[in-house]
Amino acid sequence: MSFFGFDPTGPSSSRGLDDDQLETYNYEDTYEGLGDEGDDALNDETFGAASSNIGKDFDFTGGMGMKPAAPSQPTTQHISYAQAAQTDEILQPMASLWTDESKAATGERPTEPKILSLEEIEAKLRGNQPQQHLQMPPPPQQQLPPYMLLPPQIQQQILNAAVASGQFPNAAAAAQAMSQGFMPPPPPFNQGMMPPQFMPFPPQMAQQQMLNIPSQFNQGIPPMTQQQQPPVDASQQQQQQSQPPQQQQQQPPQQHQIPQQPKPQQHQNLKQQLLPSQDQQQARTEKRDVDFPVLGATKEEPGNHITPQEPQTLPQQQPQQQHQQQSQHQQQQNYRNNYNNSGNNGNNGNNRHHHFNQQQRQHQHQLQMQQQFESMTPEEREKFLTRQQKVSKITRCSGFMNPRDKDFVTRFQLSQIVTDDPYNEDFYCQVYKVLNSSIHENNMSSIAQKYLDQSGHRLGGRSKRADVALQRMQQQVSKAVTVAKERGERTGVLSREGALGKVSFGTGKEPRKQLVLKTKEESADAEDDYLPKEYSFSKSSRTFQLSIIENIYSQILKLESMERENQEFTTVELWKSLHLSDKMSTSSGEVIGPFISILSFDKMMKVFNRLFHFLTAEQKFQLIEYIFTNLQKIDVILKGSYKNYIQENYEVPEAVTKKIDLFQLTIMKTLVLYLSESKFQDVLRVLDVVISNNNVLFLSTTKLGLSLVTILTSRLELIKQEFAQSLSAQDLSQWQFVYDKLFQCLEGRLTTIFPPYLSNDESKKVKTSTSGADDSYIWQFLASLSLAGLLNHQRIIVDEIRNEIFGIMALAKTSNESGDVEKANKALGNLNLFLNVMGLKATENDISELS
Amino acid sequence: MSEITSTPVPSSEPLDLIKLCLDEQIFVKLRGSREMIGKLHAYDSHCNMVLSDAVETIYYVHDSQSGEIKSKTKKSEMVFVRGDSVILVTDAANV
Amino acid sequence: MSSFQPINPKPYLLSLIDSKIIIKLKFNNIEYKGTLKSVDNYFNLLLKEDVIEIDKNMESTDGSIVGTPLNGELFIRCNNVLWVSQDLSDDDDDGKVEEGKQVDDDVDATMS
Repeated sequence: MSFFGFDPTGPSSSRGLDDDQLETYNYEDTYEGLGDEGDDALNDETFGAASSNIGKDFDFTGGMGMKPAAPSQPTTQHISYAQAAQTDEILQPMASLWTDESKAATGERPTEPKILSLEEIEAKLRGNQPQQHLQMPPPPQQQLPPYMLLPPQIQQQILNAAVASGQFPNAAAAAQAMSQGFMPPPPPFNQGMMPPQFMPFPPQMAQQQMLNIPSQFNQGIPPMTQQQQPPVDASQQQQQQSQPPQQQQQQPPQQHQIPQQPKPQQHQNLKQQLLPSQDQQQARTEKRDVDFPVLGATKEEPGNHITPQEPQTLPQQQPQQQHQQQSQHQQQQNYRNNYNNSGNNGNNGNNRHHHFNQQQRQHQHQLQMQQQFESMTPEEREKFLTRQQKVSKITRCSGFMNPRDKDFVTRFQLSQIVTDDPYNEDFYCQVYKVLNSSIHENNMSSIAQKYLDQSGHRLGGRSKRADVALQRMQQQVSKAVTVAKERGERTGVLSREGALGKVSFGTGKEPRKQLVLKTKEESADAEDDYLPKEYSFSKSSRTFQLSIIENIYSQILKLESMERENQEFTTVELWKSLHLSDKMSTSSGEVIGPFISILSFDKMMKVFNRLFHFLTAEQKFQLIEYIFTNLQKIDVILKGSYKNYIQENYEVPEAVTKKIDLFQLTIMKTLVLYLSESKFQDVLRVLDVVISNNNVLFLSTTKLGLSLVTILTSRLELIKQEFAQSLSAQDLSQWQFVYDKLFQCLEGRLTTIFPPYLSNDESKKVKTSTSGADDSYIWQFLASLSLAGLLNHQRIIVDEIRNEIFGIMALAKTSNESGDVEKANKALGNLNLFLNVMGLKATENDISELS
Repeated sequence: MSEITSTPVPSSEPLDLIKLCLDEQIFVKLRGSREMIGKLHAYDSHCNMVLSDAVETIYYVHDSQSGEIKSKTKKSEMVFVRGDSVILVTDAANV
Repeated sequence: MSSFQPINPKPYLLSLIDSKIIIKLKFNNIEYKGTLKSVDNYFNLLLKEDVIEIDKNMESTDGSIVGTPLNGELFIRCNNVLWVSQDLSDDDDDGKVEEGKQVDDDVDATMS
């Protein structure tokens, strides 16, 4: 191959040198460490035959032939399909052509069955293109000794020659041999079938080049054959042995002779001599095949070969091809020697010719391809092209690994994944096995079936262990899609608490832990009576707060008057007056933003809307974010939790209740209005901020906190459902993520959102003056929570608050019985607000599906 | 305690205190041994004030001999306090 | 004291701002001790939150001063003020004017 690579530059420039080189050239030199050359030469020969045969169709005058490029183009009208296929595959740069060709040249002989099947395929293909049809099905290129690429007619000629030469008893045997690549290029030449003028390359050129090559090597030019070629010496020796000794001896001197057109008879002689050597060559290649890991052997199976072209792409064939080339080269040299013996002039010409053939084989292939292509009907072309594409696509990466490689990798992977429970842990291994064992049937059900077989199943699986493993695997898969988010960021372990205790599921990433330690934060959350500290301020702070408010008021009044008079105004002063970046510490040392602290003043609540009105959009969002970040620090919300008043029978003081109402009427109203016009991302961000900066569990015990979260979640879900198309996948996944965070905060403690005085859970409820107050905000929250959640979320919710649901139903029943229909309807209405989300409907007696 | 030592809006004059207490509970000491707590709605420079939900506490000597002092309270939803009777005003939270 | 220098009321009051003062009301023998925060043209007075209310009637028995901290700023309407003076009884104060202290002492003495 490398040899060929040389050629393009070589021919013209090296001509002059050739003669000189020839003089120094001797057999040993050429072969020393340069087996490639020899092989290449041999290749040349075989291909040379092909090209020369092809040349029949074209008239090539020697003069014309002087230019390497020119002759090749016209030469090839008929291509063997195999040839076409070879070139097809590549079609691109010369280099790739070369390699491919060489690959093609060698092919995998070892497996006869393959050959046959390929032959069949080719025969079919031939059927499509009658003009190329031969009596002999063209051998698959894979294995195809170079001469196989010859046009059919020529092949036949070769066959005939072979038979005639007595190597084969009859044509059939010869054909067989040929198809198997055992047959050397027979002596069509001998029979004078190839007139010199048909030869695609001017003999002189060829000769020059031939001669040139050894000289180049001698001169220290790196051989292009470096690629994994094993030293060819042995094979060369073999070949040499096979050749009559005299030939070798005669080689060197004759090479300087002036190129002349080859003479057919000489060819004949050469070919005959070549026969044995080629056999050897083949034997050698076979041996090589064995030595080599059979790369891509599986790939080469008939099933994979859709078309004959495919084999060429298999990289593993290269080495073999190279070998062949090497041997060919050697043979060529022998050849040359032979020529020298018989007739110098002719010999040289012939050599050159072969060499050129080799060089330009690719050109020819390409050209042949083109011509063939041109001769096709449009449909055929299209078909041809698409097939070509397909083939190249399919085979692009095929054969990179041979079965042993794969096996190694597999074993390696397996060894890595050996765990106590590999079936459970390694999904990919499973799938790999499944896919590997069922290439043809890769529909899902068969995969599933295989998987079951492999991993075991209760209906006849391998083992119980596997059975469990399967279930867990299934769990994992479904969890991966749906519940992965439920996994806490903190723990990373999916855990579930049930009546029987806590179960945690391990994952590959986060193995199951023997001990699940609660973090401080968690345990704090878990404590029922956890409360954020109340913020109390010194008197001076109060004055300060009041003065802030006063300042805000005056700013607002100023702005309002300016607005009334349609003056330009800026909100810089006002923004400053909010002191958002300031901190003040409470008497207990807590640090809190002044603005948050003043939100609990009635007059601040009252002015909030007016204040908000003047802010720019940017400021508005900033303010909103700020407020939600500090939600649980807002005095009204803080004091609104029923947990503050355990001593007082959970009764929230009237003053606080009043403030809460005021907050709802003022700030909350403003916030809701704002949020109802906000973008999805903004709302989502706000919710995220709430969850990350506040104790959601505590917030949920307050009416205001719960209501605000409800507003956010329902707004998000609303946008998601109404304007889903405007949301990116990222938005949605982000929302899912935030939701899971939220849900995780509440999961397992959902009942705490029911203040005892509003609860209908018999075990919990407390009768107070505020019992019977409106609890719709709780049900609204539950509704929005389950609306945004998945089925399993909903299931958890229902499960947790089951008692409340039944309590409401019982309440409705007793109310109805006592004649208080209105109360019953109201209670059921709230409950149904929640249940309807899940397509359920409750009456005082039972829960049914929503019709 | 506020970390911010210098009040951003210093009461530049005494009446500003009353201003700050707008809409807040305010404590007013009146002549005639009366105190009043209520939410300040309005005021002027004479300390005339309007309070809502005001609770007026009147101290009187129950028994002149023992000097025992008693008090009674009087609530009014909205009340106007004439400034000339006002002795002092402070934030109700302080009392 | 040494050389007479006329001081007008308003500049005097303004000079007392941020220093400890005592305010005596016209009636009930009540004094307020605290730091003067501001004064206006009516001579309305505003005391800082350290203000203490002293009912002179209650302390007569043993002479000890019984004060009730108000814990908040105090507005005193002008018309009720009998007099205003600097409070020099507090050692920890900056003790602005020596003379004033003497005066106060005098006053206290006379009062008691």
